[in-house]
Amino acid sequence: MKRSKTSFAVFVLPAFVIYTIFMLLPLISSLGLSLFSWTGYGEKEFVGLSNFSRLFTENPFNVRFFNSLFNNMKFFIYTIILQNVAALVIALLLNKELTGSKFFRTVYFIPTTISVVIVGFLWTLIYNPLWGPLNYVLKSVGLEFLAKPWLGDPKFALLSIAVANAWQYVGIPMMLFLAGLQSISQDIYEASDIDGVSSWQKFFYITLPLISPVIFIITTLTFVGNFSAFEIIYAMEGTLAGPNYSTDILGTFFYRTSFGQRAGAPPDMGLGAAIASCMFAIIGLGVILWFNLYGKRENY
Amino acid sequence: MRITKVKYKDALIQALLFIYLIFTVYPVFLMVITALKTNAEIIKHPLSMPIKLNFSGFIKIFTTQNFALYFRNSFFVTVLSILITVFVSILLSYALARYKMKYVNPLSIYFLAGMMIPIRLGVLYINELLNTLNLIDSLIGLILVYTAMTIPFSMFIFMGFIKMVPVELDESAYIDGCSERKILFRIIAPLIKPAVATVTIYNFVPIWNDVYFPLIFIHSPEKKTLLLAVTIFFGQFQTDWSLVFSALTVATIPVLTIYLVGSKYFIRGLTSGALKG
Amino acid sequence: MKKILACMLIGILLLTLFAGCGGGKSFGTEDKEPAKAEQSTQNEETKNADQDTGKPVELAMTSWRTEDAEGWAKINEAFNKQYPNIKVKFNPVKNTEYDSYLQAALTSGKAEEIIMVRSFDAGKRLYDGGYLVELNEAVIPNLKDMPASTKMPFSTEDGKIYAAPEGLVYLGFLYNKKIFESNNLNKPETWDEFFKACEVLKSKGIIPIAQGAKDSWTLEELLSGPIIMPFVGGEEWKQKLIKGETDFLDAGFVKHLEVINKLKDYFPEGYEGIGYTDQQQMFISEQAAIYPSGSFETFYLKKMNPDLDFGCFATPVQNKGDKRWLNANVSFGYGINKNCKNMDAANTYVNWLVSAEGAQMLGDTVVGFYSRHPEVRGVADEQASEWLTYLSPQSDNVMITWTYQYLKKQQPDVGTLTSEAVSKMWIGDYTPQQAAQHIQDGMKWFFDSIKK
Repeated sequence: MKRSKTSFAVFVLPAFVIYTIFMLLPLISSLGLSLFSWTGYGEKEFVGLSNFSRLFTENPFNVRFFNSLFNNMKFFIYTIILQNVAALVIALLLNKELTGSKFFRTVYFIPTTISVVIVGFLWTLIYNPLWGPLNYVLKSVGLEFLAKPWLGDPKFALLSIAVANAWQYVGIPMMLFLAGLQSISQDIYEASDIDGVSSWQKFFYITLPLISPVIFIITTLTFVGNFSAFEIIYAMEGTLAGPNYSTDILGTFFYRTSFGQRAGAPPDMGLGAAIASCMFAIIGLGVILWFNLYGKRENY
Repeated sequence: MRITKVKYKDALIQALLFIYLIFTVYPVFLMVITALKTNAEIIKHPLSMPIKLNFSGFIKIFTTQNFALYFRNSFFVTVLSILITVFVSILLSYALARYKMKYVNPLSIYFLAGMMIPIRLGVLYINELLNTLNLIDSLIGLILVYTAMTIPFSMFIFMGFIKMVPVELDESAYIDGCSERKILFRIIAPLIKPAVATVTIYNFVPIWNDVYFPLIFIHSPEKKTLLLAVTIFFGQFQTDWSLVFSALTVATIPVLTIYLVGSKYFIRGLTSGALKG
Repeated sequence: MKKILACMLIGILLLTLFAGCGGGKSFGTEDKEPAKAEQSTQNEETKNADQDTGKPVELAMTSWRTEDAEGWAKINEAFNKQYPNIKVKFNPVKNTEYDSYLQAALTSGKAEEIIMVRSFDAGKRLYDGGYLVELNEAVIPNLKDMPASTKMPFSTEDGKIYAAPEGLVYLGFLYNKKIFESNNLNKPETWDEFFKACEVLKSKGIIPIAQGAKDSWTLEELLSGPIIMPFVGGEEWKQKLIKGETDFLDAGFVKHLEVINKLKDYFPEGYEGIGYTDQQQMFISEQAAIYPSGSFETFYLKKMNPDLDFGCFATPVQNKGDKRWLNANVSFGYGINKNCKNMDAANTYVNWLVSAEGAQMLGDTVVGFYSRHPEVRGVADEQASEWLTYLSPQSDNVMITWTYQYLKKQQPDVGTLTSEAVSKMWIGDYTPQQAAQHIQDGMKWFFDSIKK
């Protein structure tokens, strides 16, 4: 089949133009702010690489940066397990097409349609140590020792937020996995039945490889999305990403720095842009690495 | 013997799905009862059922001055943004998924790059750009920004789905004399309806609920979007939760509608039967 | 089942889509209708106004105080009665996005004529960026009545004023009168009395203090701000601090941290996970007796629970008879946009706002916010008035929250450091002395900057 460069260009061009003009160019040029000292008004003062040196060597900025990077990795792992692995399990169960499956599928998707503001409010309520239903249930079934001030405990706050986040978005990977699962021809399973292959073997040797494009997409999107997330944490823990910065991830650190916080220091757009540049580098490198690792095998 | 074992297993699966259903539904249920309570009740008894159904939040929303106008602005912006995104992203993803060119990988990363930089950092530059293009205070400007913003995610979803469609399908159609355009729109597009539905819903929610860009780019009262008009109820110290919940519950209605209408496409498009053909 | 649901939803959708608009019009023309209608009524008004007095002018003021939209409508109406040819609109923007909004609107020249300006450095950068005009008694004569201490939060270091000072809130403690009465408790005057009252409440199973650790700004503004005053000696200490004559290892400063540390014994269980909204909730639902907060809550508390019988008291003192300080947080002033096309009208409006009449009107309509205009000694709302009873006759016992002036010029700012120090103290990582050291170390940039 003939695939020419010209027709490739025709397909790519419309998206390329809109995206480049209205998204990428403004974003890339804003990274240039990292070389300036600027509060957002008036003259920008050129300061060279000093924002970067502050970020990496000056307390508290370096502490916050590495702390948020580490938290971000945790948040990513939590999300992979709570959202994506859970979505795969649910998709596998739904794929049996038992009575009610369609109904379940529809309902599981509903949280995706709710605004983050509401999700934040609801889950803060659920985790409330005094009247929250979670602690209430734990206490009433005799698991009192498990009751915690969830969002106020540095050990559990990030996990609690990851649960809320996964609750909201599990529907998307679930849908993608389901679509992937349903695209697998039943003939393959029937053939393997004859060969006497166990269910686990079927899952690992047939299902997983066949839905690997979906796994690739979902992991990439989760990675990129998680490393720039901030809204849900703002909604549940505020700008300082408490307790004691235990829920501070790169996105919240960036927003706090470049847009200021409630009655705090004026925004430091230069330092903020320096953080954004680092985020860009980290995510970019991660994606390139991931494309090479996974993409090669998958012929991406 | 075997049949009962299978049934036992099915029941277990259904039980698991049901438990997850409760986990999903409880917060949604909380949302709905909260929207139906008065502010005082929300504060005093955050978890209880409303003593008396209170629709005043909804009434206040629907009788907001110019509600219909704001609703239409929001609808216009959201729907058009999504239509454009879906269209250009399908074209793009088709090229990226099907053409074996050396640009494919760098281009996918190029498009992903937009998701790696927080968009609010660029907002001043976008503001400047729209100002020079005379698109400040214009719904078209808003649409272009939203479209640009949603292309990366949409591209990725479409790419994954197009890759799941066997290449042999294109090739046999090509041999039958189909043009590429026809292959894309007649053969591939119908098969990736679930992806279209996913992209639509995933993008609909944040665009519909967004207040940040309208707040910055829109100045005329007659161009406000619905949610921008509603932000007046978020206070510095006191938020009118009854109204916020009503507004945001109302805001989920269009999304849910689209979802329920589209949900039959969610799965069926990609069945093995269709692909075998 | 799903089909029925879908049909219902589509129905609702269509209903909402067409709610409020008459039939028969085509979609396209309808879009412009309300704007046109507004315009034509405006034109009529314009004509009428034209006949009475000079040129009619329309001004707009932007603000982050969305809660006050109704109050401002009243204030502007009162203004319009006296100046029929100037009409002012109040355009509030969601608080958290206000700064971004202003930044974009000012740079693209679309910002309102009158701009509500935040106090200290947050507002000063608008002036430094060249977006506000300088105000003085020549253009705003009524500025002369305003005490110098209220102009300071809106002045440059060389004394130029860029916003007319107005809204401030008083901070201290709110208490539930019913709970206090039924336990035979009185408003505490000293810290000993305060903690005794807390003991009594705790022994009765009532949550003594509605406070949590989750929203860090409350630690700085609602706790440290008021509590520090009796231990360091109020405003004078702050003036010494910003000159570098004292620092955070000062005995009085450490003492205030000790008191904050002691408070936590009277917080609810799981206070680590309690945030600002929960604090409000505990006080409104009468589960907690004392709520460290401020006058700005008055209207909301009454609206949420009309049966709530509450009062306020200013920060307790160390020994009976000590000077009682009252903590104020300066919230907003009025700035004028450099691009304003009707300077005269804008000046007239701002001048009226800071007149005795405008100041009184603010205190009466925007409940819990006050002007420091010397003639305002009471306001319409009973609870909001109670705060003013703590003002000394010369109004010389007001301390503006200590964290703001010069101490928040850059990160790490003193407010963030204080919140960090307090929460680490509460979980037992720091002693009060170490907490003070944490603030001292973090503020090295400040002490370095005044040495130069």
